[in-house]
Amino acid sequence: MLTGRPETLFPSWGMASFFVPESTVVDHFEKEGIYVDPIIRVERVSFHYGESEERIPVLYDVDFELAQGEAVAIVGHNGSGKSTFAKLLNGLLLPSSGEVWVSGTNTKNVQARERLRSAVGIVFQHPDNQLVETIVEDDIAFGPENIGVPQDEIRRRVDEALEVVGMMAFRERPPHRLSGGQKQRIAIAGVLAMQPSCIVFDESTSMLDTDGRREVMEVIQQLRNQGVAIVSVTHHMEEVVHFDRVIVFQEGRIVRECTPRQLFTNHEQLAAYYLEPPEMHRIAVGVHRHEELFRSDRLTVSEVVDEFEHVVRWQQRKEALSS
Amino acid sequence: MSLSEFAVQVEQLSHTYMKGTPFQQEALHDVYFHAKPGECVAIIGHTGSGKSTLIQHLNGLLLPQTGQVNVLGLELSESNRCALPEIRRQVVVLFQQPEDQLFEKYVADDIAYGPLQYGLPKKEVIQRVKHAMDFVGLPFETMRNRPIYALSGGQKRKVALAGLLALDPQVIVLDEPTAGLDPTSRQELLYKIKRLSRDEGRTIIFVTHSMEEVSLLADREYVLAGGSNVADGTTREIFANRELIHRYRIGTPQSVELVHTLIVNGYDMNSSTFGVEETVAEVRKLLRQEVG
Repeated sequence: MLTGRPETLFPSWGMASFFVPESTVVDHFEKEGIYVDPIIRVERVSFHYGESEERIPVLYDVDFELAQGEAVAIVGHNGSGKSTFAKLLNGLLLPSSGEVWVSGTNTKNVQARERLRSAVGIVFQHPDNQLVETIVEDDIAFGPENIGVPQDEIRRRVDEALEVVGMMAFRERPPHRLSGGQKQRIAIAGVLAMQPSCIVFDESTSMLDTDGRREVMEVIQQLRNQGVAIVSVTHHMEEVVHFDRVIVFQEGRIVRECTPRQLFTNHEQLAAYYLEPPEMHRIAVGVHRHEELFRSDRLTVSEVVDEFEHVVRWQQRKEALSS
Repeated sequence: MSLSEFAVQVEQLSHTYMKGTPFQQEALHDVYFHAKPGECVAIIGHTGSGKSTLIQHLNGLLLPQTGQVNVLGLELSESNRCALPEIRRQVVVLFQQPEDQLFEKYVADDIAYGPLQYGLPKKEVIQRVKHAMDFVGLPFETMRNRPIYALSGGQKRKVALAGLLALDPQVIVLDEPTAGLDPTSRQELLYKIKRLSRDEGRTIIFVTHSMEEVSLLADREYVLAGGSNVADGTTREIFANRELIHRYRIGTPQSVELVHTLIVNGYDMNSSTFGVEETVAEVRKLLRQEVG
C-alpha cells in the first residue's frame, strides 16, 4: 500500500495522480530504489477495552504503514475506532494482539517509551487538555526539559517550533488567553520541540472554527515541507483533500485505502461508508451533469474556479474560431 | 409584566466581568436578542464575541447587571430569584464539550439523573429516558448498560443531549452542538434538532461557528462581535453581505466562498447564492453568458 508515497517525496507533483496511472508511478519509484523503511508499521492489530465479560472490541486485524514524510488522513464514523488507532501509534495504548513498530522499535518495549513518545507526537482534540504552563514558551519547553535536553538546545528548539507554527509574537503570553486555533498551534509547537518524525492529529481541528481550522491546516502544510510525517484523524472532508492518502475505518476495520480523489469520486462507495464529498465536489459534479466539458473530479474551491475559467476560455476560443 | 410574543427576549443587556476591579472587562454591551416560540435561532461569533456570556443569561446562570432578560414570560433578575428553579426546568443549556460533564458509570443512569433530581416517579423517569435515548439515536435496549468510558466522543455527546431532553424543556440552548462529530452524526443531530423545533414546537437557540449548520437549521441568526450585535437577519441576508463576512471572518460554506471568488474575479453573479443546487444553476447560467 504505497500509493501516496511518490506525491510526498515530490510535493510539486501534487497533480501527478490524475495524469499518470498510479501503478506506473509506484513501479517507477521502486525501480529507482528509493524505498525507505516505514516510520510506523502496524501489524494485524486488534484492540478491545475492558476485560472478559465487559470486553468491548474496537479494532480488528488492522494493518498499516506510514512512510517518512507521508501525510495520511483517517476518516470514519464516530465509534469506528479511529481515535483508538491514533493512540496505538506511539504506545499510549498497547494492542490487545498484534504489533506496532515505530522506526523498528516495538511499542510494547517499556524501556523505549520515552523515545517512542518523542518520535511520534500526538495533538489532541481539546487544546486546553495539553497546555500545562502559564507562559507560551515555557509550555513548549516543558517536553524537552522533562527528557533533560540542555538549556541552550531547548531555547533553539522553542524558537524553531514557534517559527514553524507562526506564533513567535505570542511567546511571552499566557496560553489560556489565546483563541482555539492559536492554542492548537502552541500545542503543535510543544510536540514539535520533541523533534518527532511523525505527528498524529487526533481530531485536532474539530473544536475549531473555520479560521482556526485553516490556521492548523497551514501549519500541517509547513510540517510536511519540513519532512515530518502526518497522520490526521478528521471529520472534515475539505481537509482530507489535501492529504496524500486516505484511510477509511468502519466498525474497527480498514475498509479502504486510496487517494482523496479516488475516494471522493467513487460516489457509491462513499455512500456505503456514510461519508459525504466536500461541497465543492458536489458542485463540480452538478455542473458536469449539464456541461460535459466541465470536469467532475474537482475537489477544492480553487480547483473549481480554475476549471470554470478554463472552460470559459476554451469556449470563447471555440466561438472565435467558428465565427 | 405583559406576556410577550417572544419565548426569549433580551433587551439592552450589558455585562462586565470582575466589575470594580482593575481586571474588569466588558463582555456584553447593549445586546438585544429575540426568539419566538418554536423558532430556531443561531448566534454566531468568534472567541471573545460575548456569545457564551449571552447564553449564560438565558437560564439565569448570570443575571442582568443592566438591561432585561425575559424567558417564557418570566423576568430574570436579582429581585426575581424565586423564578429561577422554574426557569431552569424549562430552559436547558447544552454547553460545549458536554461529554466531559457525564459522571455516572452507565449511560441510562446519566440520562436519568436530572429527572430523578426533580423527584419524578420512577416509571415516568424510565419512560423519559427511553424516549430521549430513542430520539438521539441510542437504542435503549443495547445502550442503556453501556459504560460511559467505552463510548466514542459522538456517542457521549448524544448521551449528554438525551440527559437534557429527559427534562422535557421548552427552550433548548446549544453551544456548538456538533463540534467534533463525524459528518453523518452531525447531519443526524442537526436533523433531530430541527425536529425538536419544527415538530415539537420547542424553541432552539444555538451557538455555532459553522454557517453550513446555520443554513441547514436556523430561521434567523444574530452575529456578535466584541460583545455587541453587528448584524441579524435570515441566512440569505447574511451570506449576501460580503463585507460583513470578511470583516467578522464568518466561516462560510464552500459554495459561498466560490461565489464570492468568482465575483472578485470579475464575473457577474448573484451574491446571495448558496448551497449546491443554487450554485450549480448560477455557474451554468454564467457559463452560457460568457460564451453567449
